Amino acid sequence: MTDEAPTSCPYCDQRFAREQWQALHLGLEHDGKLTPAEREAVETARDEEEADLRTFRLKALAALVFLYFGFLFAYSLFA
Amino acid sequence: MSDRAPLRGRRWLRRVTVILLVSALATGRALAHGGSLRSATPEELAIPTWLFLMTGGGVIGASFLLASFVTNRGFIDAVHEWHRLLSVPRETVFALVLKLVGVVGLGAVLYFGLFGPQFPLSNLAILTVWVGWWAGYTISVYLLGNTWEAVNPWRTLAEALPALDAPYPESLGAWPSVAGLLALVWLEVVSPLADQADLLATVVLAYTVVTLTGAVVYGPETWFSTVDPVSRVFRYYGRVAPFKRTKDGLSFRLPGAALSETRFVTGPDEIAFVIAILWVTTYDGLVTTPAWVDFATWLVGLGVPAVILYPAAILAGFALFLGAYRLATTKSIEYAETYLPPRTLANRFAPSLLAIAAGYHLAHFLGYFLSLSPALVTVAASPFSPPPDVPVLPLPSWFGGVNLTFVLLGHLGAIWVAHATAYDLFPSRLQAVRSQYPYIAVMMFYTMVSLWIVAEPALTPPFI
Repeated sequence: MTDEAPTSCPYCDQRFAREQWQALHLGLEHDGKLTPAEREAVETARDEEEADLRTFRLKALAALVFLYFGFLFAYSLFA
Repeated sequence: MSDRAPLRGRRWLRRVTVILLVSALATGRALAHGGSLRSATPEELAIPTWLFLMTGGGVIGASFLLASFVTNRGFIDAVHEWHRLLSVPRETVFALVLKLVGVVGLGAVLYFGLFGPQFPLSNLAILTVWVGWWAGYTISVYLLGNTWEAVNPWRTLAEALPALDAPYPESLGAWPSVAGLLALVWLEVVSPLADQADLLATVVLAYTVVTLTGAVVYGPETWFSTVDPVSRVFRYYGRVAPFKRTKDGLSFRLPGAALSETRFVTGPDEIAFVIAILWVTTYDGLVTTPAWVDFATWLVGLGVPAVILYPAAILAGFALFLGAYRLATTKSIEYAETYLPPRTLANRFAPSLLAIAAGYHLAHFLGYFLSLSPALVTVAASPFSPPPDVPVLPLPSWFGGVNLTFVLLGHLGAIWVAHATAYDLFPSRLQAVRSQYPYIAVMMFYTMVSLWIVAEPALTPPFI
C-alpha cells in the first residue's frame, strides 16, 4: 500500500488507494455530473496516467527486447 | 491392463496399423482418453527440455507485454461488445432434430456397447463416445456454440418424466459438479473405458441412472444447470464460442468475448469448476509421465496402498492448482492496491482460463478426431458387421506444429480476456496492468506443467 490516505468516491462510495485513481474513476463512471473542480482533477489525472503509460511502454519494450535476445542467445547456444 | 497409446502422429498411427494387423492381440489397446495431454507433441524435441519449457513461459510473458500496449479503453470495449444478431428460421425444428440425435446416440452407445462387436475400432459405442462426442462434439461447442441443452439425451428423457422438484440445498452450489467431474476423469484414467465397449456402456448406464434419478428428484432445470458435471463442462466451454442463443435470436460475438462478462462465474464453487476443467486435462497426461511412474513406484514401495494412489493424486493436484489461483488473487489485490474484495477479482479472472482449456482440448482432439472420423463413419454405416479393415486417416507429420499453434492461440485468448477484464475492473490502466502480473505468472505455471507433460514420453500408468 502507498502512504497516501485512501480516498472514496463521493458518488458511489468506492474506495481508492490513490487520489489519481479516484479522479480517473470519476471520469469513467460519473462523467455526466462532475463539478468543475472534479473535472479539473480528472483532466490532471488523465495527463499523469498518459505520462506513466508512456514510461511503462518503454519498460515493456525493453523487456520484450531482452526476452527476444535472451532466447536468441539461448537457442544459438543450446539448440 | 490397457496399453495407453499416446495419440500422436506417426507413432500412434503405427500403433493403429499394428492394431489392424494383429487384431487378435489388440484387445488391450487404448484408443482414446477424455481430456488428455498426450498428443500435440513434436516427435522428438530437438532442444533441451528446460529450454522448451522456458520458451513456452516466455511466449506467455511476451504476449502479455504485447497486450499491454493496447491501452485504448474504447477499442477494448468495442471488441468485447461487438455483436450481430442473426435470426434462425425454424429453430424449434432444429432443436427437435438435435434432441433426436442425442437420444438415438445414447441408445446406440448402450446397445452396441453391450451387444456390438467388442473390438474397439469396430465398436460404434466406443467410436461414438470418444471420437464423435468427446472429440468432435466438444470441439463444436467451443468453436461454434453450446448446443448441449438441446442435444443432451438425459435432459430430453428427464423432461418426459415426472419431477418431484425437491428443494436443492443452495449451500452445495456447484461443488457436486466439481466432485462429479473429478470422479468421471478419475474413472476414465483408471479403467479401460476406451478399450472395453461393454464397460463403457455400463458406465454410461450408471451415469444415466444417477442423472435421471437426480433430475426426477430436483427437477431437470435444477439438476442440469447446477449438479450435472457434463452439462456444466459444455456450458463453460460454450462461453468461449462466438454463437449464443438469446431471446432475440442467435447472437454472434468474437470468440472469447463473452468470457469477460460479470455474471458468468459468481462464487468459489464455480471458480473451482473452471480450475477442475484445467486440472483434469493435466492429470490425465501426468499419470503417463516417467516421473509419475517412478514416484508412484516409490510410494507403493513405502507401503502406500496402490488403491488410494490415483484418487489422492487427483485431489492433491486439484488442491495445488486451486491454491495457485487463490494465491494469485491475493497477490493481485496487493499489486493493484485495490479495495475491491478478493472474490470479485477471483470471479472475474477465472473465465479467461477457459480459453486455455479449449486450446488444449483442440490441440489434443482435432487430429484424433480427423484421423478416426473415417472409422466412425464406416462403422456407423454398418454397426452390426463392420468391415474387417476400418479406414483411418493418416495425419501429415507437420500436424504436431498445428497442435502447438492451438495451444498458443488458447493462451493468447486468455491473456486478451484477462487484459480486458482488468481494464473493466480498475480506473487506472497501470493498475490494471499490475493486477495481471500474478495471474500471468499462474498461466505460465499451468503452461509449463502442460508442456512438460507433452514433452515427456507417454508410459502406461502403473498399478491400474
